[in-house]
Amino acid sequence: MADTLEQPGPKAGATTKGQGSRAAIDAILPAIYDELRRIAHFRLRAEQTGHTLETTGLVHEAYIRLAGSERLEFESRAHFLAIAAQAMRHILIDSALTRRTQKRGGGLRPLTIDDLPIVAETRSEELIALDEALVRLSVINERQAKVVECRYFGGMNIDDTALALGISTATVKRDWMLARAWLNLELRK
Amino acid sequence: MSEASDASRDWERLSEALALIIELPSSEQEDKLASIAGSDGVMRAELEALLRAHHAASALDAPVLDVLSISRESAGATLPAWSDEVIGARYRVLADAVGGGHGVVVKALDERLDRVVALKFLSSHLLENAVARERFKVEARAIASLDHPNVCAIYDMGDASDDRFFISMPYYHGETIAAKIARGPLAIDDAVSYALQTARGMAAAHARGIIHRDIKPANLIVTTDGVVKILDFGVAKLSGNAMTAPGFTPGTISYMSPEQTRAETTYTSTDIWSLGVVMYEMLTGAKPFRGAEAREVAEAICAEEPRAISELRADVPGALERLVMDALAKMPEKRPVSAKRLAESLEGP
Repeated sequence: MADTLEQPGPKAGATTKGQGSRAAIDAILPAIYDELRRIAHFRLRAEQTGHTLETTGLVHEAYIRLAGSERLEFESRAHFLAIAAQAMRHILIDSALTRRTQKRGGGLRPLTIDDLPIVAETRSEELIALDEALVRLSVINERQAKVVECRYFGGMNIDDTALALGISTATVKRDWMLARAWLNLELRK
Repeated sequence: MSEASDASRDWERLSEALALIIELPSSEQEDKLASIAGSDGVMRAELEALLRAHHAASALDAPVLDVLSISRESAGATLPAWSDEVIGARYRVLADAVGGGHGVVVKALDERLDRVVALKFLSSHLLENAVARERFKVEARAIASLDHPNVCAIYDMGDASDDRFFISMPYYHGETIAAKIARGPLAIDDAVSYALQTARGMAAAHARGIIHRDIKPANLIVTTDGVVKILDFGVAKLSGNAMTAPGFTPGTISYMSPEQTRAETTYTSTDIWSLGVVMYEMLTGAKPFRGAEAREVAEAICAEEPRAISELRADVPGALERLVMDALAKMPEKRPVSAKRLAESLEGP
């Protein structure tokens, strides 16, 4: 099941430019993970309201922390955002798959970073189903799948998605609408 | 490989057709679909299914972080000192806090009366904002003046030791209408009952000059006994008490009335619109006005006619559909004249 992550969806992409993208994702995973944990912490402390919980905020926080970092170089903020969307997808699906493994009583599969139960148990199966459907979509239209990855997993708005993927905002809107309908149908099968 | 590229070509063809259909007003979509598909029955069926899927609610519409489990374990080792804290020398916090609307809500034990309550706090980042603080107090007094089974009651309000301000309310067992809708369209009887109860609660508030301004499924809890409680008058203000700064647009965009999206003065008719949106969503499982971004949703609210309910769900009575569409009249004066009148219409003849 973990193979899902190795399929074309999260790996290929207009802006990741092939080689080095895997390393780029791995490099920002810890920062995204930290931000997720921080968000969980803030939710529990409940001193913050909704706006701090948005994916965009999380990704921007991670960007600010990593922008000055020497171990990482991104061509642009747009490039970073595209990588961050993949990293988010990677973390959430990995977490959902761990939930599934635990539920089935199988041996515990070690998590990439640590053992945090990030995805709610009740949501893990639907998240896995979405990820698998997204892999199938990437086979018939890779760009549409990338748009969903940026917008849903990366929490990016239309303008940023257009920048990250090097396409027009009109194309982003169209792709999003079509992919959304396709996935809706696919997930009800 | 050729199989994949066939699928890819098929989807491209459907994509182009669907994009053409979707951009038309909903009344013209059927005709366009028929003319594109022609005698191709397979394509027609596929396009119809896709069009329905386009109009349906989707998990993709909610932020991905909604899938997160927020538990003590996932929050790491540095836990807050909330639990067991005693607030206002009277309330012992029992359970983890949850964020909501303009405040934060915790479950607590009222040690004086030995009952479980919900405490709502003004968010700390709003605390220094005098307007927000005053809004919060006005809200509390306004709701306290109401005594209606469909409006969440107010027990008490006060200051916690660290300058946080709170109100205490009953702790209800049940789930929100948002949670019910997430599982799909509601049974028609349930949708009518919830709408009716909400309209009655609204009517009681309106009679005292209180407009909710943020009626949405997440603010409507249905107790395990099937009683609707309108929650979170977080943005309510007393009618005529101009507390809302110009341009300030509270509320959730999807449920906002056209006049609210334009930051115009709003009256009780804004709540009637919002209840219309909630009714539409309860019946169809889909929001009537959608868009990729808030601005597009606002444009749809102001300019577009929603897809007919009967197209999405055949068993909705015509009279009920007309009532929902009346509530969604763009002009406030074309909507049902009051929440009381709307409630009477929902009660039937």
